Amino acid sequence: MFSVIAQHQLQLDASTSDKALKLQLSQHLSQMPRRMDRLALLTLLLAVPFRGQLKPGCGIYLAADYPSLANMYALLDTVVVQQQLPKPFEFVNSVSNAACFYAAQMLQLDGPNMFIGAGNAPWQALAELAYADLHCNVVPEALLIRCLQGNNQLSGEAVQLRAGNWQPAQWQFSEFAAAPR
Amino acid sequence: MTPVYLSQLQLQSALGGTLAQAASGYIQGKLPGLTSDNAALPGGYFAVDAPQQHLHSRLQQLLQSTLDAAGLNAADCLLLVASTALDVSLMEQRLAQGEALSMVKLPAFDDFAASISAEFNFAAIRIINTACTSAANALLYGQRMLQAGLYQRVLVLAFEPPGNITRTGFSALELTSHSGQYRPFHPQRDGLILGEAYATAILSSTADKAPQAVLLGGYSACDTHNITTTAEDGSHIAAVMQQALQQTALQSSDVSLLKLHGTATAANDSAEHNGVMRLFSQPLPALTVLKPYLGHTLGACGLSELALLFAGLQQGPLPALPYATAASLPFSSAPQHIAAQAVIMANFFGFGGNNASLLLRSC
Repeated sequence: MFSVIAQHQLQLDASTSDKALKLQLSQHLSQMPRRMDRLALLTLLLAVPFRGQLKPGCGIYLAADYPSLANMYALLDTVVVQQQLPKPFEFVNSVSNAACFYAAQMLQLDGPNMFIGAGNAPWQALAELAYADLHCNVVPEALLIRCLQGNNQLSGEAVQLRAGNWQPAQWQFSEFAAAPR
Repeated sequence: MTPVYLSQLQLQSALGGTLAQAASGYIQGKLPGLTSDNAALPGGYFAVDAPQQHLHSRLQQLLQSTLDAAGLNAADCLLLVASTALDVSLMEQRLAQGEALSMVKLPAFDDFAASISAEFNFAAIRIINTACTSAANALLYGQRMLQAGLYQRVLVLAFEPPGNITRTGFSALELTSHSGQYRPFHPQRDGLILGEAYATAILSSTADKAPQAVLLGGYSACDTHNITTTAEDGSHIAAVMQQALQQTALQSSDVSLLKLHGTATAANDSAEHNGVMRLFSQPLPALTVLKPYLGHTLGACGLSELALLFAGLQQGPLPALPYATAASLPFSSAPQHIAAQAVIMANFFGFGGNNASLLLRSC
């Protein structure tokens, strides 16, 4: 099924501000995208170690438990409570897989780009999408990213996969992290 | 790519409470009525032509009727859900009724999956949100997961309920029509009109009960040019259509009908026009647009438009475009007869750089 190439994990204090996340990311990037929400910042922090390591056409598969919570709160407050028009970038970030877009832009990838909602058991969902693309020769490799913001968390994991013979038994990230290279 | 069958297509839309009603209206060239329920949002909205219903209740009925018609149990199927809004509209309704806004009450993606799981024991549920390509991607990944042997059947549920965030958001971006005329590729087009839709389909590797279409394959990729617009020279759109052809071992000359994305926004139509002219030789295949009949149903359009198209093809020739002679692409000003088994290309593009192109045949 898979060959695990590399993996990365990130565990941050949930109280970390967006400004601090941007500062952390700016240490890796000479030019920062503008108007990213918290989910996009977390996604890019998980993806940045893979810059320059991925094949052209690599697919990006992102799972998150929530959209960016602050962004969704602001939209509901502006539109429903205050009955005003939303800020365009807040709306765009909410309806698109914006985090995936910024990751693809940073990694300079123009292949498949999928966003799925998943919280409790995301790794089987992500791996199945990647496996389908690898099996059908749609992508040469896959970058899977999982972001967590709920329950006072700010964390995530990422793994780079190619087609191979290894298969996780329980679909846990710990298995991907410990898989033979 | 191994073709898969689409069956049990269902659609509730502004053009009709059922797919048969919508298809009947469509082939007659009938346009849906515009709902102008909010003076702050010019241009109106295409609301479903059926009694109002709670979102979850509507979706449960739609899923059950699809499973019943197919003679399947939920456990036989992977459920792929495609929507940009999911059930945020329910949160909007609660706030409008006076409930206080709180960060802890914001819905997680799993909340929606849990509400479905409480009623149905699907083999698995996946929530796909790639903006306006959500349903197109659900079909593509459904096909690929069937080919990979991961599941035996896939049920795609694509829906876009009315919501003020969506409607005000597109208005804030100045992408909505003020004239109330939905005219993709018209030189005086003035934007999109959003539409409400609920659609389902069963995907299977074998021809189950009365398949309506065959999905041959396709391609979906990310254009990193801009988060809201694809490259206006059409280069990425042309590349995605070309990749879709390669995935299915077809040539552009094999395509008999091109279903354009056609949002009627200035930039999208211009980019798609350029992409089509880059890829196809003259004469172009027959062209059609479906958003004037349904509105732009966002994350659902990948299935809602295909359901309408294939049901329409079973009933008669496709309607002429009323302003064909003025359009920037050579649409037909007469009803179009599309041969049985003809290859149909269907384009779907979205925010976040998502561009997708599917290739299908009618059954």
